[in-house]
Amino acid sequence: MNLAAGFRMVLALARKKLAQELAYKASLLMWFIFPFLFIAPYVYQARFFAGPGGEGVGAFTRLAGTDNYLGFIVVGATLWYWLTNLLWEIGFSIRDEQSMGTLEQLWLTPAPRWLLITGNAAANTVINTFMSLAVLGIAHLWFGLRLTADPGLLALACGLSWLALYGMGFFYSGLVMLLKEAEGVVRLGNEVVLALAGVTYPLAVLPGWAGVLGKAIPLSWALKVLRGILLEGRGWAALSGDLLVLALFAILTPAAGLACFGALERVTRRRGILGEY
Amino acid sequence: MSGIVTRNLTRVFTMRQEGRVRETLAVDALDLSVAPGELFGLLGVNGAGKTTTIKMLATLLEPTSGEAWVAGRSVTTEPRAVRANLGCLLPGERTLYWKLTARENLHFSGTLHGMPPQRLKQRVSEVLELVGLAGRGDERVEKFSSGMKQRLALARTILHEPPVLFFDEPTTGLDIHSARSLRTLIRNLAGAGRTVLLTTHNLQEAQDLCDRVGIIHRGRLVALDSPENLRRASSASDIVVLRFGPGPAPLRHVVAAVAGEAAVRVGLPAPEVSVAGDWADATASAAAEADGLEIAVKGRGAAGYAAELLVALRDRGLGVLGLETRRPGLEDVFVELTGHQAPASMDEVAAEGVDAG
Repeated sequence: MNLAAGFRMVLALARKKLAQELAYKASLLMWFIFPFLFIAPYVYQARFFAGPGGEGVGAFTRLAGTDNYLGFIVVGATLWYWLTNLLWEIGFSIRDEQSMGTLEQLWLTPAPRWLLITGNAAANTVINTFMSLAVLGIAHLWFGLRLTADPGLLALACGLSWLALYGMGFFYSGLVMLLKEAEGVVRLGNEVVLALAGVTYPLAVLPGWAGVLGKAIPLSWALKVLRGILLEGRGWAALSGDLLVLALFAILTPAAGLACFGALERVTRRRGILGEY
Repeated sequence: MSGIVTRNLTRVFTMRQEGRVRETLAVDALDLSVAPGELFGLLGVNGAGKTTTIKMLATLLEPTSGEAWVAGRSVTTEPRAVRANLGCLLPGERTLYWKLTARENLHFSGTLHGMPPQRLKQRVSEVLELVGLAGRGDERVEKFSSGMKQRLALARTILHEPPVLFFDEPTTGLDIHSARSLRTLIRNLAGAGRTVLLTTHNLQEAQDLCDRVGIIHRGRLVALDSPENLRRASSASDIVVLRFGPGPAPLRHVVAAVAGEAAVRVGLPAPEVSVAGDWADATASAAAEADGLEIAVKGRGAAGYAAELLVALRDRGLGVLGLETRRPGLEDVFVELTGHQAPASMDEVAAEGVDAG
């Protein structure tokens, strides 16, 4: 398979997914309303804790290293939302194919299976990214969020984060295929990540053991780097160590995720439950 | 080599039931060789191991042991190469994306098979034309009838022009016309040099279509030959079917007696006399039907004895409305080898009068 054929396969999968999504008009309405509905509760809760005159911000600044509590919460929640959607989509795309009865037919094509997973999630990744940008836009226009960034550094950090988080998705898809159950698997994963990755609070507030576990989650490092760039305006030199860790995750997580997916997919075929739902 | 070869292909399913581990031998050391360009039928009742075999050959299921090659590629060590050379029609109409149009479904599948865009566009139009859906290509599949969905699934199966094709119960649930057109398409594909593996419940379909058939029973291949050779080698009897006009109940006893006497005269053992379709009990019972009384006489060499029987009946003043002599069919062979009545769909075939052409 050459690169052009692989690209066409990803596009075909994305187009198929998009056509299926657009067949349900309620999805479109949700896309427009959701960004505001998603971010508003986080912002109001953060303002409530900060106090009307910002009395609570001091304690926050000591632990988070920034007084931009609004930016901290919005960046954390948005990235978590992006990851949640990614895992949800990857997990459910396999489950949907299983439930519709199309998974075996998809698996009968010579396309590499990792590419089928990637392609199935590609359309959602695009939608998801636009939704995440919409969340940031609403936070800027409605709630006065201020972000600064070196565009090149931001692009690199987003790329590395994308790879690291996508790797988690491969593992999820294998697990969903084997267990024939998506909701519990994805929900559990999301809640663990939410609790340990420092989405709405700094890792420093976690108990020691939980903080250690948190550092093993790629999202924690993605958040650390992106907050450093967007909230504190930190540059290449200041973030080099954290970028290196994120780069390692960007290499190791997809490799480990693919290996797990391959092993779980093989168990599924060995048990003969690929087409079952 | 574009055929199919299996060597000791075995599949065991392990299930946990009420705390116990239970093993089921679904396919038992299957040795099979399907030549390039051959149309081969795999027959068996539900649970005999047909679909398990297809799924192993299509790389959807790992064999427990043994090996298989499709188009010269190993299903265990070269699964992607196998899939690239294979078109597989699985049962059920949910294998298509209902929210996409027919054309979109085909484009999607062709792209995943790595077809170049220009060739794919041309080929999509060709296969839509071939399956009679050229005018419906831009409609969503959810609006299609079962027959149309099955034809579209067939179009997708042959879209990338694979040398080997698997059809798993392709006509199940289809109306007469859809089933006929699908059979014609399958026959034409085999005629064009493709290797076809067909699994079916429908014995008449297998008899009419296949160059050779294998009968699989409890995971084992119990017979393998052309339908004609299997019928010839069968110990099943020739059959004579007589149809009488409406008559009084004792008629059947009279006919039974006459048939017995005629058999003695031509040196045959006493024939079994039974109502057509009720061969198993071999009793002399009969049932009045709307158009009269139908009685079948069964015995080795019965076809040659029909004339003797007709004369004997005429001498007793019993006019015969119709006489038909029949050699054993694949259904008789199947029953003989598996001990099962022919699968239920056999009745459907009889009812719909399968296209034998």
